[in-house]
Amino acid sequence: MDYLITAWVEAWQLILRADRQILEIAWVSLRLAFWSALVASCLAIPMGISVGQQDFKYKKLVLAVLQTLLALPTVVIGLLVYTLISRRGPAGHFGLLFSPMGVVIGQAILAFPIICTMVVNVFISLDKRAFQTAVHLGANRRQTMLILLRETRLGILAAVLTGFGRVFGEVGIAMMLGGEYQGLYQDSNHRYCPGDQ
Amino acid sequence: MSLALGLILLVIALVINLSAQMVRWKVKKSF
Repeated sequence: MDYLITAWVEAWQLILRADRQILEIAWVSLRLAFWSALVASCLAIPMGISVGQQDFKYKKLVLAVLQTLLALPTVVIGLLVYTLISRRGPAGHFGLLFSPMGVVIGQAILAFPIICTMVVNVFISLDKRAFQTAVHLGANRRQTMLILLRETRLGILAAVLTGFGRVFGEVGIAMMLGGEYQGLYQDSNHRYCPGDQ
Repeated sequence: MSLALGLILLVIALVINLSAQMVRWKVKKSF
């Protein structure tokens, strides 16, 4: 019991003292989550808009695949990206393993289906009259898209925030692709190899 | 140190997820 009390007291002391190392680690987590959500958003929002807005033959299949990807285990993502960017993998020569960029790639893959599915749902539930009114009033393609984006901006923001929250809370991918975090924030060029230490 | 880091990350994650939830409520209301 004493151990627990000591740990809590020390933890609060570190927080109240604004310990530099802890703040740096938290900052790295925030930064990586931000870039992951940004990369995922850049790909997922346009895809979500096109899938949600258009009717095509395999729409139901695409939706089913996207919704299935929501349940993709993070360990699977970590392992897949690990095999891709490990030294002997197809992207091994980029040296992305155990670097912040590797973590961003893995976490972006995690956030992609979340953001995409939410954007698709926003566009599916959007009142069709917004699109029809814009077209009937003579808006061109760009103007129509801007009107639809304005109508759905809160939904898209909610999707991006949810993706951001999900990748911020993710630790498995960061550990598998980022290695030990001291090397991650002290020197991003440092390559940690399992078995070195 | 891990506990302190965990507490800080917990607070940040709560803030992010709460704000996402608030935006979702707002979206539901607007529909």
